[in-house]
Amino acid sequence: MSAEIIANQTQQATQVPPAPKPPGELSGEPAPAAAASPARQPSRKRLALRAFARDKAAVVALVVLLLAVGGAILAPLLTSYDPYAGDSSRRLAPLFTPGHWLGLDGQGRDIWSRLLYGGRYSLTVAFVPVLCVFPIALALGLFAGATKSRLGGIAMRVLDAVFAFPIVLLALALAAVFGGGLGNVMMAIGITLLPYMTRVAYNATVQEIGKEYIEAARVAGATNAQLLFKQLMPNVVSPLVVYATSTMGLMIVTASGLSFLGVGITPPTPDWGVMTSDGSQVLLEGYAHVATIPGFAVLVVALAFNLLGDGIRDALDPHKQTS
Amino acid sequence: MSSSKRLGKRSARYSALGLVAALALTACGGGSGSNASANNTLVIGIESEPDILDPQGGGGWVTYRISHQMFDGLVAEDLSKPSSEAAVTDLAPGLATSWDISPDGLTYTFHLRQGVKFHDGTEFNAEAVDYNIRRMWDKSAPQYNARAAGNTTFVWQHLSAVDVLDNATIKLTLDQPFSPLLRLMAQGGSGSTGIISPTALKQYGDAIADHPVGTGPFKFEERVRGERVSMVRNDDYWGGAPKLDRVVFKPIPDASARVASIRSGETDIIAVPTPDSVSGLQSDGFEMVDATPPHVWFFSANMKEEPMKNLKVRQAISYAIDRKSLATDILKDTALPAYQVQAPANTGYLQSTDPEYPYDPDKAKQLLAEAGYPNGFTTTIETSVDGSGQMIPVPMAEFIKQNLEKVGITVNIKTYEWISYISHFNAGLEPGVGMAQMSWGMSTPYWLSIETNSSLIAPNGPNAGYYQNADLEGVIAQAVAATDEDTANKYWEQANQMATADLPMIPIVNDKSPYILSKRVKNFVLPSEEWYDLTKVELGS
Repeated sequence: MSAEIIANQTQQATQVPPAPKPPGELSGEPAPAAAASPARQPSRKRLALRAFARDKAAVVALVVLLLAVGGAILAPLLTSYDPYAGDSSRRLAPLFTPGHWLGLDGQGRDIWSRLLYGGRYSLTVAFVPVLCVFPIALALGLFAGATKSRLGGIAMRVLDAVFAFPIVLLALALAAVFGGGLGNVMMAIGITLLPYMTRVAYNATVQEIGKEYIEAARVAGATNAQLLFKQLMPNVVSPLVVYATSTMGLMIVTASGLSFLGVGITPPTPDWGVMTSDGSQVLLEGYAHVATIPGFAVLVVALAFNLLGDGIRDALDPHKQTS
Repeated sequence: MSSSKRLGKRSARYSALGLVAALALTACGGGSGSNASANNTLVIGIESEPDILDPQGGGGWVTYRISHQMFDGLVAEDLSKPSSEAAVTDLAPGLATSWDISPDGLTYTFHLRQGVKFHDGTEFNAEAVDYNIRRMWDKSAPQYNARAAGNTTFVWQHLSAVDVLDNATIKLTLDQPFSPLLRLMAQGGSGSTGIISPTALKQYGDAIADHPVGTGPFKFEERVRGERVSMVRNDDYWGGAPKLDRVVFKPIPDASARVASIRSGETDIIAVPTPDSVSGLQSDGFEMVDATPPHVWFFSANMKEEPMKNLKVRQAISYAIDRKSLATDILKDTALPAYQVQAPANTGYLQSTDPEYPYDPDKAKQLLAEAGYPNGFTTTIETSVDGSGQMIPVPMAEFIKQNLEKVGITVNIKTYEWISYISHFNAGLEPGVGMAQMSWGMSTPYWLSIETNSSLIAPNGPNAGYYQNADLEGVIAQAVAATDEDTANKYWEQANQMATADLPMIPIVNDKSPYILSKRVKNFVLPSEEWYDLTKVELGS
């Protein structure tokens, strides 16, 4: 990337009429500039943490997620039952069966044990694709947004074409091509996710690059690398983090859907989607707990990721921070 | 201000969730579904969308259960008796009232039923039969249809000449005695020999599947793909007009949805309920009928590679599987444990033998050690997630996986959607796949030859596990060439015994193919066959 490009961009951008001042500046709150804050004011990080702590829904969501992760990691300590071994003569035992407080599934396996161990798969599916796609999306978005080069344009158009497919349909097609299994499912939904996350990074880059602080930094003699990584990137990362967090819930739901359709994680893996799919066969026969418990786990965790995403967004929004 | 706005957004989200939940509940509760009870129309909920309605070219049981109502062959089966009265169906006159077989077993002379008309008014006669057989067999005939020929290749493989003797008599000449011929002519499933109106064939050509015209008890009305196939009564049916005005076959692939459909009155009969729904349905006044059709749910072993090509390993696997618990606990007695390659609805079935490989995990471990796998091994089992005749393949595979892991065999289960699974299976087992599951069977013991003949090794035929056994083929050849039924059956029993001991296919259960009937369905009989007759069925109020 050459210095001229960024220079041209900022010049073009400055010709755009200035955006209306955000209400925050009127009330004398700290400006969103990356310029150093006065030392006696609380740091940006502390402000964000304080704002987050005040958001009760987000805190609850975080606790729920920590519990889910903790349960998955500590599964062997929380249950003595093998999630794979069943007693077919006692299958479909109801809730609060002695020794099996969540009952037994269609193979006579302990549902509590499968739920805990299943978290390992379902939560992995939530985190790993998003974490893998994050740096790629960030790099692509920054590159395409900051350079406006032909190569970046082509990359964005290709990703736009992928947009044309509904996310579930694309994941379904990819999973069918790759075959089942945890790794392939994560790859399939990771690929589906890429255009969305790149678009977020790209939009944030294009928005930020027109702002005055970039121009100011450039005039103050910042190099291209400094502009890109010190000034631009932190302001692109925030919206991307927010987006990624709220997407994790969707990833669990998508992966569960693929498992439900038989192209995702294969039985008897205690993935929550597989468990829901298993249980759906007896849902209306008086054994609703088999499907609803893992289904509820998917719902709660997906909701928690969404609320957490909301919370992070608000916490990072300087207009919502107060000292 | 901003926080109240956010609250508003959140509560909107929660109420949306509530709305979805409410919708789901009402959908489950099901509407009134009064259309089924309003008239004399029988609605049958079936497992999947049928194949084409060309009786000769269309494949699969689900499809034949439909085309069987519209078409007749020369030879029929007596479908009026339940399995408890006839473990194997008897052959019966169809469009041929009788037939003579020459002592050398080489010529079959069929005497055709007189006065029968196709649904379009065309007269049924020897010319019509000739036209149809040439469609399936005579490559030089203009009406020759490759798909019909492919699906009926086993029936006509030894046919060398077709001669119309007069308007009511047709003679088939074979190049060798072929004892399974009559039964094969009465079979459906992978194509049948149902006779189609020659007028319709000339008019529609390959599009005959969209305009099926036969001589059967019901006449085609319409097909809406993904929704229904409907047919109306043939008042002129030679076997006596059916009691029903209309029959509608409705594909409802999800078993729980089928159960919901009969509960709501949307259907009158459903195929294959979920095993766990049966007792609840019965206590709510629905009737369950089942049978013992020629239906084996089995694994094809990969005979090309270790460890499955080792007989001791296959025996160990067979000993390790607790078929009884599978049938009783997981399948709720909708199936019987299967220890023989041939099903009970088959003349090759051995009535009085003890199971060759009963449940015995200790024996299994011992055999694995003898075979050189004292610590077991890892293998892959393939199955589908759904499909006609597949019962509940995934929970069954999961159960078997647990059985095998108890004796030290680690199992990976690989699942496929049904349609892609069929072509995947027919391509032959992939390296590393120890066993692939299939469910099939015929009332003719010749099915064993179709499954195991070395000339039918995948992808050229259904022998997906690459089995080759010259001794077995020798015995089967003698059964095929027998000119009297007792000799044929003696060899077929011997062949069954050999295959059951050698385990190229590991039998697991025989499906009892349960059907659920609403209270108003009368006289529905499920015979020892994969299809059924609807001419006697009546609907009460």
